[in-house]
Amino acid sequence: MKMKMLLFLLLLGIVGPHCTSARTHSMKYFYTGSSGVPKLPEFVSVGLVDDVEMTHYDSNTKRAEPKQDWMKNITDEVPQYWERNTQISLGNQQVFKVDIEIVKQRLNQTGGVHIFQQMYGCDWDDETGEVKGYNHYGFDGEDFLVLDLETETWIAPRREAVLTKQKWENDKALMAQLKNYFTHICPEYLKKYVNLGRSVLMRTEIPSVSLLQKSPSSPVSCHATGFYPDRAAMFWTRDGEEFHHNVDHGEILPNHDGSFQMSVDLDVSSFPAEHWDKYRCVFQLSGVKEDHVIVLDPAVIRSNRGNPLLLPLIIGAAVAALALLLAGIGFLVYRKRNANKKPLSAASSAELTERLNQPPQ
Amino acid sequence: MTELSTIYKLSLVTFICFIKACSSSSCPVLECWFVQEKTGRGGGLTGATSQEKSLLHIRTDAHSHTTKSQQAPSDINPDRVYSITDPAATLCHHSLNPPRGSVEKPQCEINPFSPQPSDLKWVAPLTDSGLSPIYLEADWFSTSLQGLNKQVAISTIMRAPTATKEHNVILSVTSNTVSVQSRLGEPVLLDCGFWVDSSSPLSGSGFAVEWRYQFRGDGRLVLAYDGKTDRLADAKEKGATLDFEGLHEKGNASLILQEAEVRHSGMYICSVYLPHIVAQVTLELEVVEPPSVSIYPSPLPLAVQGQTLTAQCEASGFAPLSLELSWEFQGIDGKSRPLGSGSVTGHRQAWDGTYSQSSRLELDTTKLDLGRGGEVICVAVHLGGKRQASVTLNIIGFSTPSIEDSMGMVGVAVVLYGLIKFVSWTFTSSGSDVAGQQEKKDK
Repeated sequence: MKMKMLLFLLLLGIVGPHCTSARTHSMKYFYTGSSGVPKLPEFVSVGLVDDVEMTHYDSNTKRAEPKQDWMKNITDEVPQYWERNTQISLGNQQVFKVDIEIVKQRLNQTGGVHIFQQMYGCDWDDETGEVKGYNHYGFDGEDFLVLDLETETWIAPRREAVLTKQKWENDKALMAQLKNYFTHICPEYLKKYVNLGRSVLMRTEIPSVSLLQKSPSSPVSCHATGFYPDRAAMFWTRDGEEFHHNVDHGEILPNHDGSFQMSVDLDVSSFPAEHWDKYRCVFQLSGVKEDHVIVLDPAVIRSNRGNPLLLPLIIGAAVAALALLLAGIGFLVYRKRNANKKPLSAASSAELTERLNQPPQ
Repeated sequence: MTELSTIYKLSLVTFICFIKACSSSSCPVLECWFVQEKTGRGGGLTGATSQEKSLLHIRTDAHSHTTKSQQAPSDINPDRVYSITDPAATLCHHSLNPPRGSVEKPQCEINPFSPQPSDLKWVAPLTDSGLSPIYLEADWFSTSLQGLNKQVAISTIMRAPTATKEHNVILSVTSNTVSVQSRLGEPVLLDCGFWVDSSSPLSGSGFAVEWRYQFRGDGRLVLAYDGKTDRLADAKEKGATLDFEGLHEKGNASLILQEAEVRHSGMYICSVYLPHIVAQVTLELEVVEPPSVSIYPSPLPLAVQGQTLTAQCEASGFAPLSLELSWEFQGIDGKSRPLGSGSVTGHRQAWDGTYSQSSRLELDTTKLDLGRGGEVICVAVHLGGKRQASVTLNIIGFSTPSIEDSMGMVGVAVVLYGLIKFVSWTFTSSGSDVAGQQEKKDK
């Protein structure tokens, strides 16, 4: 009970008012052309905003479709949005069908499974207005050609891509077109999408934070789950100072519901018990001013394994209970038998006694 | 070390050149793909390309006789047979000249090239002064080659006076470390060297070197050096340097990374710029670090026959990913046998990019025939090698019953004694219904 109270109070501490904060938003398109993969459509185009899928097109459906409810309202701003995107994707599908064959030929890859991909998009900081564009081509999981907008050059990590690098770098009109797309058009659309999906994309979700420990010898894991967005920090402090020794940081991982989780482990095995209260786990979420702080207290640590010392106690208790039960039954039987006293022939009684007294075989 | 190898290389080149002077026969006739883009559509990735078989006759001296007397195969268009003068004999590398009939062939591609000034900060000064455009008005080609077993990567820029097929190598960039493996924390040398035809008007106007990292979507400028103004561009990479003396004197553009880190693994592009022309080679660096393996608890507690012990094997600090963990048991008789892989955890990445992974083994002393004990070994197989750790297992009290068994026996004895005592007492005093029925049944 006391423990629950403490947790409740700790949670109360952070559930204060919180405002939406400055964030970096992103829009990304992934085009995937494949050959030799039976169940995968030859061409798939997926659009993401803040890493949430918003549009989808593939060579089977041949239609650009919304993947989020809020994306359906894009037609209020761009009436022909879905028709136009369907046309663009149909065109890209044709280009990719040709491109994957050309790349395969260039790399001397004939049969087998091959994947040719393009990933492009932009990041936009809604506070500073800074925009960063990117445009990558990949073949079979490795970079093939990458646009460097800063130097207006193409990076060709494979020698087979150098020819295309030279061709595109000599095409000043193409570079101007790309520059315009990545610095103007891309962020413009990104702003539209973020605005449409703001109730989902700009939300802030506070996680539940707990201290977990597998066994008394395991590290104590400070675990936060259910937070959004995924811009969060978590660390341990000792006497208010950030503490790095004996600390193992986990990655931020996605939950099935779109929220995130993370954990930071602290190896407590060398800490004397009286020093535990010097340690605190701190969780910070982008856009939330208050830190979520938990004191390292054995009482709040959750563990799914019982105290090993309990086991003999449980066995002892069980034995005692059994003995009491037997004694109870015995007493009842005794009482009952005493109630209806029935004379028993001495012979049979003696016989029974004799039989009972027989030594065990 | 670096200089020594460069000197060695240079002397080797000189030696080869000397040999060449006597008999130019060891310079190969290279089979090459002539690839060019058809003009037109600008947006497509490669546009339509044409790919034709081509033959390159290499010689080191423009005046020497080429091996042209050799009959060109009938499937090669005579217009695609070129003779190339390469005074540095870069293209005569032995790995480009495989023995006859070998299945593996060196890779070669030749493309038309158009000289262009570059706007890159570290390259732009090269074309400041302006250059006679007459020299650039010629047929330009680039070639890229890779030797057998990735022994060498070469990229050249060649010039042929218009409408001749007599090519002269103007710039060649070579790497002898196409694929490099390094342990964590070690210094790494990524070899890249270039040669410029000193008779070319392009040679006197300086050069620039650019090193870029690009791997799986992640890219950065590692280093950029303008050799004309002797200036390094701002690059974020720490601990990356060039041997500037060797660079200016011998064209040694090798990149030195002071300490290999996991994040250094990937592709490196070495580009060498002359005014209007550029050639690049790509190298791959893989930082490979085998895991350190330990077993907990160590030493293992004494095991009583029938007890189950848990051992944990921790493999940490390895890169790249993919590790195989398994357990073995080696009895006192010296025979070892596998105990499976245990329960393997997912991998975790540390701040330095290395990974760790562990496996838990439940040692059931009754099920597994472990005798009186032996060595419990954890084996980690990794790209960087096999590592293992072991602990001694001692099993005591072969026939001693376990604590649970003893407790059970005591319990049963107590209950039985109680029952007998109770029943006998009941019957001797007055007998019971239950006993009566039982007696009837018995009869």
